[in-house]
Amino acid sequence: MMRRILITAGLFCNSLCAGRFVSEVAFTGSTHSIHGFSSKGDVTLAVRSFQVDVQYPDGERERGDVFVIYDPESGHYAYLFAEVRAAVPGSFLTQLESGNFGIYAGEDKLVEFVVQSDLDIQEGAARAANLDGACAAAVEEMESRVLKKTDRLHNDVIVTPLYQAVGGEFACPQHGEGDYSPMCSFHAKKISSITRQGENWRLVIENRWDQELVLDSKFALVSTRRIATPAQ
Amino acid sequence: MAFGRNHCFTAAIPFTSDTALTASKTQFFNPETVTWDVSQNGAVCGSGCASAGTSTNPIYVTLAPNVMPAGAQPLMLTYVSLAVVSGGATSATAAISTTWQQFSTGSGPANVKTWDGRSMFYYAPRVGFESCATSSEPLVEGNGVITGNTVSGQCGAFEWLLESVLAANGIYSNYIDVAATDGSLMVTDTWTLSGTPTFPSQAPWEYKLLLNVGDYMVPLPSAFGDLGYATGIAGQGNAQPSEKVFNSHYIVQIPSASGNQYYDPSYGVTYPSAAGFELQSVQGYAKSIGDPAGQYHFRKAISPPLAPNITFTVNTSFSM
Repeated sequence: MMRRILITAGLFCNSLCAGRFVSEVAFTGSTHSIHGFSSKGDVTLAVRSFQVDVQYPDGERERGDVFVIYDPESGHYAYLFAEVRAAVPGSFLTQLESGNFGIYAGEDKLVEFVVQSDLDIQEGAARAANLDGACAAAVEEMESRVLKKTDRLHNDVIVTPLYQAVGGEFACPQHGEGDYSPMCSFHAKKISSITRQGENWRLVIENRWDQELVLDSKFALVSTRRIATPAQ
Repeated sequence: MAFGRNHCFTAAIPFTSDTALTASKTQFFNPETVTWDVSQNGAVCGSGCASAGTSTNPIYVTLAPNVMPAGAQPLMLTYVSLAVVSGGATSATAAISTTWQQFSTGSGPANVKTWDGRSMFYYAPRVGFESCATSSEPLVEGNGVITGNTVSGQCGAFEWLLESVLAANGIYSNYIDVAATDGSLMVTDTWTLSGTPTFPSQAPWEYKLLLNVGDYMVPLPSAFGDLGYATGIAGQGNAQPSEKVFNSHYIVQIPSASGNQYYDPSYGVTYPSAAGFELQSVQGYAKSIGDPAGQYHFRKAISPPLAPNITFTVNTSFSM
């Protein structure tokens, strides 16, 4: 799903990304491309990942992975932040590559969908002239959030409950079935379609079968139904 | 019996004890001795028979005919052993009690053993999900699930073990699928919680929990975010089960039992209800809220009488 198109050992936006509380870590950047959906069909979006050191006002420090997703067509960008963990390197990259993640490049914003026990949705309506500008703007926004919020840096997420509406068997075989795994949690193997239907959203998520999700304009679940079993 | 040099065969010979068994009573004859005589002319032995020695075998007498469905067969010796124990039960209630004492001290696991005294472990130290038996047959046989000297099983294996044991005594039970109602992960006791959660504005999901990607707790992560690892509830054969975070759990309901009907053979405890399960065993729940892989938001369990986040579902396909 995700293709690395360039790995650059250097600073991407050195002059803009070194703030008082958030500063880019040298030699951690790389640029990738990612598949997205749009009203015109499939699109390719740019992703830049790099690490930042965060100094919180209370003195705590944290190193994080930042993923800036940029739509060159509209200029919209969105970013993801995750604490760096040695045990889980590039943890958002893992997620982006899992197929559990889908992104829609709309005319008014980028919208990211992640299928967990809930459907996690993040929006990015801000614009930048290019990927460097998006990177710098993301760091500026993080800087501002470190000052304003009591929480550690975290992504703002709209949460739409999904598990009860769809049912756990969508993702996980039951105990006793041949491919049962106790580590299976609710997820999609792939978000195969994201489209707009008027004000509504229509997603098709794929795992043990294909499931349609229809969301309203505020991402509340309107309906869901099983539509097919994926071809073997 | 020998017929010519180097030619032997085995015969199945029905015989009747000269002492009738008491109806509806578990008994254990250990050993039952049979004295063998061979008649040389086909007549009933009275005199003139050749002595063929004695044989001794344990004889288990169950309370009632086995009700284990064909799909759950074979009936393993450990099932019968745990059904009968030393015998003496003359009712289903007594038989359930005798069996349950092999699984539970009344407040925790009794470290249940196979017919020949081998221990069975609920997630032995450093043994993760994929190294544990998922059903009772390999658990009691120890096939392919031995790590070091231990045989480990998941909750589903211990669930089927208890159901199979009850079925051997003719007692029906239900397979109960336990899951968080909202699909989040169940985090079992015990953990310490940071006084300064990472996400206070997202209460009650305010604590950050870090786990492995894949097997949540094996190998043991070096840090758990806002939660601290602490000694928790014991499992069969193991004071500190290696796994404490679960998508699902499996327990047994015995509809004919008085008092608590929900039996948890993995931990050796009983519950009155889903709320009771949450109160006794679940410290909280974890789910991803825009988190990267391996990171979760954790919230504490809600104590009754508030609605629990646990659902018990009877799975008729696996009930015996």
